[in-house]
Amino acid sequence: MKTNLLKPLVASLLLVGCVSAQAAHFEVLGYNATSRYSGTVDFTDFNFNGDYTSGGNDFGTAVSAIETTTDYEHSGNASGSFLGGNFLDLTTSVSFSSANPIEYYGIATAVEKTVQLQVVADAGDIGPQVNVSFAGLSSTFSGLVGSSEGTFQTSVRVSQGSNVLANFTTKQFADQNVNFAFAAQAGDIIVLSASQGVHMNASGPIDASLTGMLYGNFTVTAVPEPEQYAMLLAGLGLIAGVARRRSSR
Amino acid sequence: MFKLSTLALVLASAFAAPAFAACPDASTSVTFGTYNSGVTNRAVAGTCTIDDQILDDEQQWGSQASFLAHVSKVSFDLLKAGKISATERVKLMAAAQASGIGNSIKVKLIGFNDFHGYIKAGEGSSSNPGVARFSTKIKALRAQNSLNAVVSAGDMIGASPLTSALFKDEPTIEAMNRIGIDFNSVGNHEFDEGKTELLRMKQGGNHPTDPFSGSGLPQDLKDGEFAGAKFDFLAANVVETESGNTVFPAYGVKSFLGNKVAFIGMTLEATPTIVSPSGVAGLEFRDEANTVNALIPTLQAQGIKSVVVLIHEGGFASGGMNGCTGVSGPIVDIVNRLHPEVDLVISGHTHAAYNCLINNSAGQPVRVTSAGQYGRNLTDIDMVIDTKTKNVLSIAATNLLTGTGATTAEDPALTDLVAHYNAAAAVPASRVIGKITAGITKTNNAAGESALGDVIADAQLAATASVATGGAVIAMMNPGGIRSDLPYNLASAGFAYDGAVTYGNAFTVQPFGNSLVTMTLTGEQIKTALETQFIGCNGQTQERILQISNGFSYAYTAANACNARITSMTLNGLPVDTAASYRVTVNSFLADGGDGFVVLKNGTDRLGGEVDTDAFEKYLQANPSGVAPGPQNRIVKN
Repeated sequence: MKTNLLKPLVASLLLVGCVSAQAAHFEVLGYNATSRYSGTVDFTDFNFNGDYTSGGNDFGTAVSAIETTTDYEHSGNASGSFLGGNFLDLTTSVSFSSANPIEYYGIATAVEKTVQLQVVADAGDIGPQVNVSFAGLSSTFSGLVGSSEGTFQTSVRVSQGSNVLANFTTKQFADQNVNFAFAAQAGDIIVLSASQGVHMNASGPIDASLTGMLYGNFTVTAVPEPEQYAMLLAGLGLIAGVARRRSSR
Repeated sequence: MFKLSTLALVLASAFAAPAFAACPDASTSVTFGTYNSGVTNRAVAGTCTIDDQILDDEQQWGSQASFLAHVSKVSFDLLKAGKISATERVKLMAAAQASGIGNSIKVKLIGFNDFHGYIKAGEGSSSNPGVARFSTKIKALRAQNSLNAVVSAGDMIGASPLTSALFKDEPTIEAMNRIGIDFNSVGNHEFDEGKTELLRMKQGGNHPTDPFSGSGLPQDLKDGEFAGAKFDFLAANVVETESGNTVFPAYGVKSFLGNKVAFIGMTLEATPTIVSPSGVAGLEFRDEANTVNALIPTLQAQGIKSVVVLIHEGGFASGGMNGCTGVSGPIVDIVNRLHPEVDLVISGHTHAAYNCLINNSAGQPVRVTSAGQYGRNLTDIDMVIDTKTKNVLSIAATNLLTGTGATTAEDPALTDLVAHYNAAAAVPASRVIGKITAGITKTNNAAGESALGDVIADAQLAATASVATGGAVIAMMNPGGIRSDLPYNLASAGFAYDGAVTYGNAFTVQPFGNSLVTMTLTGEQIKTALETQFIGCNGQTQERILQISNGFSYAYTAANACNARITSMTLNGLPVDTAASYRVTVNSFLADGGDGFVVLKNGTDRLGGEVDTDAFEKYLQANPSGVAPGPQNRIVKN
């Protein structure tokens, strides 16, 4: 009798633990990224291409360039990284300042594209179901003044094959929370594409800039399957039943 | 685990109010490490400057990406707050990238070996610093670098002084728990009381019979019993023959901001020849280098390229504790055969302190350290890891003295533990069990016989001579089981009388708790046992001259061949007849064939006896006028 009781009891206790929070995580399978800054000042072109680094669970790509002359100064920065298999960070910036009537066009893009991730269940997970959520912030700082004008765009997309699991895009200047969630299964291979781009036109004399950034992190949580919830309830019911029988003696 | 901590770190630096270590930073321009960004340093938050707020470049970053993310966020906030211009932010990002910060991390490893339960300062030796000073030194090293690991290369427990040994070495495990060490590779002495007891050291729970077990302070216990080690024991080359599984994990991994370092732990392959065979029955001790090399692909598959070997096997070298002149010993051959992926070897077993470079299988020099014994030394190791490739870029190692007396303060976090066990041991330890007429040492004469060895063998014979207790005519004691001298205590020093022997004294001499076994051996088997004392003979790995009881005597010629060295054996003046049978007493360690004396396993008609210290106590009590040092005239070397 005792051992018969023990099994559902243990099972239900285990499941109580599962329902609250189970860890699962992403494993980075592949990575490809670029960063770029280019500028044109009175028809003179500047191009800078970033490099990316890879290894372990952290990746980064960055390019920063500044040109200072007696007539003007321009700078651009584009960098992105995916840290610890879950933290996304993008930053882009262009700026131009001159006391002279010089035309400027700058564009910077930070792209983390085709980060290939696999959902991995951790030891102790029950069932392959996982919930993935992303929480972050998209933010810009506009130094657009006078004759300058510019845009920026931030997008994050998660897809599995041709199936888009989550998508976020904004051109809004104000701070914006970025939240999305989707379900997946352990073993799934998904692709994260994220990019941020800034462009700016300006005519001197001017001191203008446009900077944007995005950061946030993924949380992967294992969830019990419906039949396991049922087992949990059955287990609890059995315990309750036993308790009642005992108390009636 | 590491993902969480990395995340916490990033989030902390992104969202939490920055903790300014030293505001304001006086530098005129913002620098990243030594890289000048060209941005003028100025106050941006109270008196705190950009340098204070943005950099955190003194702290370590697990990757350049994580450092850039940090700088981008902080500089973005400064930009939004109008504290810096967009161009300055770009300069900061460019400088952060060019500085290389995050491309490598420096990890501090603190290594030690052969601690042997020396938790109480001065116990066993006046140069024993005690675990509280040991802890102080470790804390000081850790304070230099938050990315650190404290690791032990075996023999942390076993053959330990009374304050630890009386309590089954639980005090040492608890002390190491408090210090927070990361890994201990098993050594031969971890197996002194067998696999089951060693597993208890890790898993906790009180000893099934020992009344002193579970005597710790409440904060060190778990559910009122010994809590077990909070750190992992490692034993890559100790395998259950039946299942093929290792008794303990083969290796442990510690992640430093996402950069993983593997620690492969093992004891010497020859462990079964120097521990009680019954304690390691069913276990296989495998070749050290082969075991390490076989694990390398497993580690590489996990992206681990920083590999440290914690090995309880060592060598000898001269030139001081950081010297390596004329390095010799088994460790040389082992390292010569190691896979080039091994970056560092922390060794032990020989109780020597050295700091060596020994070539691996690819002919590349590998750092090999050993930190002496009994907590007197620590090895301070700085390992620089490339965060992109995960390879080790450099290793610098220095052996340090822990320091005794006023040199090093005792860590208050450990003193209560030591004081508790000292007090708990005081009553049993100070109990007077008999008298000696002079100090009795374990120092061998040229033949390999010691005064204390004689006395112990005599005590064992006395305890088993009667028909009821075994009818022994000869007792033989292994020299390795005599761990210290028997001091001559003076009444003026607070002892009951001059020459008083305390239980503590006797326990320190024989801390293993072996029991006596009397068996029947033929004269031929006795001769074989004596022949087995010499290195290279009948599988013996080092010279081990057995200590023998009164009445028995033999002569040997060291220069003779194996099994031809014993030239005469007499018992009470008569030659030992090789065909006759004799009742012989040894301790349970030898009776199992320990120390390579395999022939003793063949002894018949075995009768178990008392624990060795109890026999010794009775022998003292039977000689109330005092036991004199042994005559050292029973073994003759020609």
